[in-house]
Amino acid sequence: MAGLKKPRVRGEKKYDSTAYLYLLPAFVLLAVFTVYPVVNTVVTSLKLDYRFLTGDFVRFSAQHYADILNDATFRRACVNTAFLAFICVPLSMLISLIAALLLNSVKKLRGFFTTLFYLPQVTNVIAAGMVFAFLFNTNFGLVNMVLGWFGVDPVAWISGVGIAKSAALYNQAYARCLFILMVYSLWSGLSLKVILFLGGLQNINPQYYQAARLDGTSRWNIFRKITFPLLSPTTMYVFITSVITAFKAYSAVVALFGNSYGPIGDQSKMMITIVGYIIDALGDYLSPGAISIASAAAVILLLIIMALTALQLKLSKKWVHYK
Amino acid sequence: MQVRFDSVTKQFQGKKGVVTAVDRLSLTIGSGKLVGFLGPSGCGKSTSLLMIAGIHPLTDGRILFDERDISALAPEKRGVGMVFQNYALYPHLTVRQNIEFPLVNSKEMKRKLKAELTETNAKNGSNDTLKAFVSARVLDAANLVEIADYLDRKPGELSGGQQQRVAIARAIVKRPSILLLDEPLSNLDARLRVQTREEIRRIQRKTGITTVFVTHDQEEALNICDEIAIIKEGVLQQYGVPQDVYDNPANRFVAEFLGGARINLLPGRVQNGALTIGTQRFASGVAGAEGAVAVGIRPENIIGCAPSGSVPVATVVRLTRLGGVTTVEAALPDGETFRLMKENGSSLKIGDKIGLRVLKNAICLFGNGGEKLWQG
Repeated sequence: MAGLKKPRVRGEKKYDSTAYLYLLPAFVLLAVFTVYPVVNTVVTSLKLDYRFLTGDFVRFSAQHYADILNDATFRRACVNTAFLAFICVPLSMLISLIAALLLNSVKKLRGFFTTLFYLPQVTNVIAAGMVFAFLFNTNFGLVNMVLGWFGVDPVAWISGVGIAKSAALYNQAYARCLFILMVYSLWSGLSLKVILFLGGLQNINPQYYQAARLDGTSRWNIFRKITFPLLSPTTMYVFITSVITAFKAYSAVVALFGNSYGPIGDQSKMMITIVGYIIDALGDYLSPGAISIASAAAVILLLIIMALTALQLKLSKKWVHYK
Repeated sequence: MQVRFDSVTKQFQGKKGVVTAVDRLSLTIGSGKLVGFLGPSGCGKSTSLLMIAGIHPLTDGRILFDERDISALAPEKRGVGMVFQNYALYPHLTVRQNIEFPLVNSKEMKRKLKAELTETNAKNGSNDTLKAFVSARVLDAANLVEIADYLDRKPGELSGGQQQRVAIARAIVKRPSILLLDEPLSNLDARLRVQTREEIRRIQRKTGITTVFVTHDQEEALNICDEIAIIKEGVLQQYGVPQDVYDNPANRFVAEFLGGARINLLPGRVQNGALTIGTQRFASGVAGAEGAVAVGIRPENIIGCAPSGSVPVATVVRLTRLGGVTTVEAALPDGETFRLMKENGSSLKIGDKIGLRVLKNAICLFGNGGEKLWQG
């Protein structure tokens, strides 16, 4: 190849410039669709009252960040998202782990049950959410029907009656909605986790269990000292990805509670999540500052997720065992 | 502790029906002996081992420990120590934690150790804690297998031979009444294999534990076992002292399976008590066989001598030198070739005529079904 440049020698390695040529298409795609948007978002978030059509803005300022952090709605969004990430996810992981352990120990109907557990993954979020919301319908919902069998009065699950005036009623409505969200989140989160845990469990060499059985190890000790440590890479993966997914929650909340993120009669966007906040802020993207605010909120979300993931990875060095 | 198999059968439900892995196996393993189960892959030797351990339940028959029927006893109650083929060392625990695992994870073991501890304390007037007692046991086992320097490493940081020793230490630390090893040497290289099998024999002699190990390598079985069982397709072929089984094979399979140099197996004919291969007479006074037979003679039992009228004569057609041993292929006038060993220093060459003198009791005659008809 006559046109080849001489390879540069740096220390002991040689870099052939054709390598960079091969990497160029991938670099370009990454730059255009990943790097540029992120950088642009950060820059836009600092432009006060950015106008989308003209590109005008007042000046560079962190004012939007301050506004967001002072916004009660944003704080509520953080609380709801944290609820999903730090309460629903661990609970969901626990239930999935138990389900996977059970599935791993049966041979006969394993395929059937695995399919059953996996169904939520292939259903449409909006459809599923709407059905769930209907399950909790005050008059016709299945939940109230079952409660009725036990003599419990029908609960007005998603109801905003009187919440505008009474704080106590508001909190009750909030608690009920959180409960509904938790049930939905557990149901939908189960599917993928069960499959991943099941895969992780089946990767454990059965000879470990045979050896432990010969030594008379109790089932709990087998789980604690053998299964769980050998499952830890899978657990880590599930934990990190689930938390990130939880932070991106939006469509489930809209499907369950509608576009106003709450029961009828609620002015406070009770169940809003961070992504919901971003989308609402974006709302009419032509008005001045809309995009700046949304960008700022997006950057905050990015920083939270990065910080959390870094923390999880650091902690993982202690309890995750890789072979 | 003596282990006895009483017509033990094991069947598995396969995709194409029932597979019989072990078929009416009956043998007695003497207390304190090192016994090898030998046979080709898939012959049921590992399955038999796992049935002693209790990991596979029996389909039929009984297994007795010191004449006590333990066929239905749970594995953890049998007092069995086992070394798995891939060692099954817990990768996330250190060597020390691996070895002490059997001692600290079972309530029953704890109780047993506590009782032992109180006894020893009373005898020595000492006041050791359970923790110290367990530590001492672990150290004992580690010293026995010579792995004490590596107690704080993880299995992933050890070589294959070292992992093997840790696995053995873990199996014997609970002072089992029987030690089982499933193909312990198959993951090691040739030199390490020789070294490690000597280790196994040394440890077994020292502890006196009845030991059974499974292998498909006849050299190691012949080398270290007190007794060996040859198994083929789930059926016991022969059980006895290695040299005995080697010299007096019960059937054709055993004769072919054992022996570093493959046994010569040639078609022969018995008529009126005289055995001939081709036109050459090899033996007389044969009883119990008539007509066409398969003749088995080990190469090392044929001595090449000067051609004369009293021994079969063959022509050397090939000399194969492998390391320090030269194999001679000599052909009878009608084409059948024999393999025999050549002494270093003899000046045999291709085309030479050589007399075949067969040592006493070295000829085995096998019938159509492989059964032995006569040996002499």
